[in-house]
Amino acid sequence: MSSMRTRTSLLPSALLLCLFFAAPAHGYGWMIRHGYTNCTSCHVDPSGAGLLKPYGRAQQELLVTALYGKNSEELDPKPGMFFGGVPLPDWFNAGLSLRPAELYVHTPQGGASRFILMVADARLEASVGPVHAVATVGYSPQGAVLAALTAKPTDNVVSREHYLALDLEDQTVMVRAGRMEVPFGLRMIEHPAWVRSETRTDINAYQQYGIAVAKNAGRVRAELMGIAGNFLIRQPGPAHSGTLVFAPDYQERGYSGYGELALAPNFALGLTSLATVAKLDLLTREPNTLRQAHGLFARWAISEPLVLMAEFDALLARSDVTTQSLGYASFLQGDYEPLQGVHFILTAESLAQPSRTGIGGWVSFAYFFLPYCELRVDNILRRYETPQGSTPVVSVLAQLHFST
Amino acid sequence: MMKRTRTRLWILSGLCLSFTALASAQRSGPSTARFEATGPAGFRIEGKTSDLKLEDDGTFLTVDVPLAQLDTGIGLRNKHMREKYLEVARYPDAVLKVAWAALKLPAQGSSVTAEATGKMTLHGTTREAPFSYVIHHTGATYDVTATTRVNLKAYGINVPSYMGLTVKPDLVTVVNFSATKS
Repeated sequence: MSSMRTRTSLLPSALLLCLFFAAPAHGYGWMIRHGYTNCTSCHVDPSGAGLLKPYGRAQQELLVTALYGKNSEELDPKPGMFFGGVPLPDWFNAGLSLRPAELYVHTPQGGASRFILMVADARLEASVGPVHAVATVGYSPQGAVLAALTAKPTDNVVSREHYLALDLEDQTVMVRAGRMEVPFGLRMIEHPAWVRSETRTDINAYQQYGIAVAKNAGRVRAELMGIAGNFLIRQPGPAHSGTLVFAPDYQERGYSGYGELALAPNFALGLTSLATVAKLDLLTREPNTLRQAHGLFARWAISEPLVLMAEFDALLARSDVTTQSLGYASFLQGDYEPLQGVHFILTAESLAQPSRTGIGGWVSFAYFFLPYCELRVDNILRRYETPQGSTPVVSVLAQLHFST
Repeated sequence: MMKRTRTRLWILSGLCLSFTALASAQRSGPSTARFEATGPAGFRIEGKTSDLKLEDDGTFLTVDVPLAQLDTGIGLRNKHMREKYLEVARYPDAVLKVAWAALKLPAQGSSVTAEATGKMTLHGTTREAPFSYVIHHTGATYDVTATTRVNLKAYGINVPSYMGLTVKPDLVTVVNFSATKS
């Protein structure tokens, strides 16, 4: 009961933290509408999101950005950063991401609005033949403490990813070691979605250290990661010190992975699985926790303008306090792009955990008004049901995203 | 006078026979011709067109795919494909010519899966082209799927490369069409 109460009391702060956390990068599963069922052609990360390859930058201009009546035949993307203004040598790749946002959250207790710098990251890659060194480094005024290199509650230098990668077998296999995104389910920018937050697999700050093997060949994409833990997890240090200290007890060890098969150029179906153990659970603080998530996901381009994406995850956990809990998180999203660069997005989600359940709906609009420039507005209505009652939470997040 | 009339009749009947032969295999219903190119890291491009013509002179069946409308889903990529690689203005068609004698036709209500060799003309180069095919014979219609591999270099086509991504020179091409044969 005490743990239930703890979880319930954590609810608003967890929600706010989730929303304060940043969505660092591209993660556009809807690129399947253009026949791209895998991510490796455009992204350095074989499971998508993050630093773009030169080919990915070109596709950003050709397929993602509003054309204003032009045909993509009339475009001529240039290699390098800033529309070719900063050429890059073959061995070096770099990108910048800046995502300022205004967040308004309304709960039964009232509403509050604040400005957030969600992301201010540089992404770097150096390559020697098949070996790649990849790292991001950025500044986070608040949140993203799970990726912080510095030990302050706020105003941290963060590095969400830093890993070494080796390409094998004509680049169809990539072996990575270091800190990286956790391969699980749909990789998406909607990191507060329950399928991401409840499985702790979002691309904001839930990266883990470990070793991963990814396979991308033909109609198959898959990645399996052995998780060694998040070595950047900290907890408050000595009283009044104003610093955080490393907290290895919260590190999770285990595995996470997925496999997706493109049954058609416009339809892909995947299975995903994760299991980790920790001496202390990061959120519940329960000792000796085994956390599992197993699910399936799909992407379907019904037509070029309309893409459906869905995920369902069974959530299991047990610890020295909780004998066994069983729940689920689900996600269904329709992305309608009537004109290139203009997206109307409807999302429905649900959550069932022993301590709380919830349903949510998102109405979102995204406008890629210039290459590497996106305006996005998310209206999120969630209703939580807890033993204490029903709690509606309305959030409106307006953000600009500049990247290159 | 009589001799001239007889000669004209011979020519006319010869022309009629030719047209009959030409009309002996005719496309019916929709058709597709597509290619699949692959590259590193699981990269894949599919291009397709619904333009496909059949010609039959009684001895050879010719499948002619005009390339101008070949679509890969990205305008700029189509432009590069047409202008830099296939050079469609100079070489507008991909043509596979195969002798009827090399083909097996299934009986009514059955299917045939077999292999044959024809002559492929692409980018101004003609080469022997082994291919596999499946033919279903239903009613008066033959539903045909034929698959062949094309090596771009063998046809003098530059291997497409864009922004650091180079496709493999071997493509798989597939044509689907339905035809009637009188």
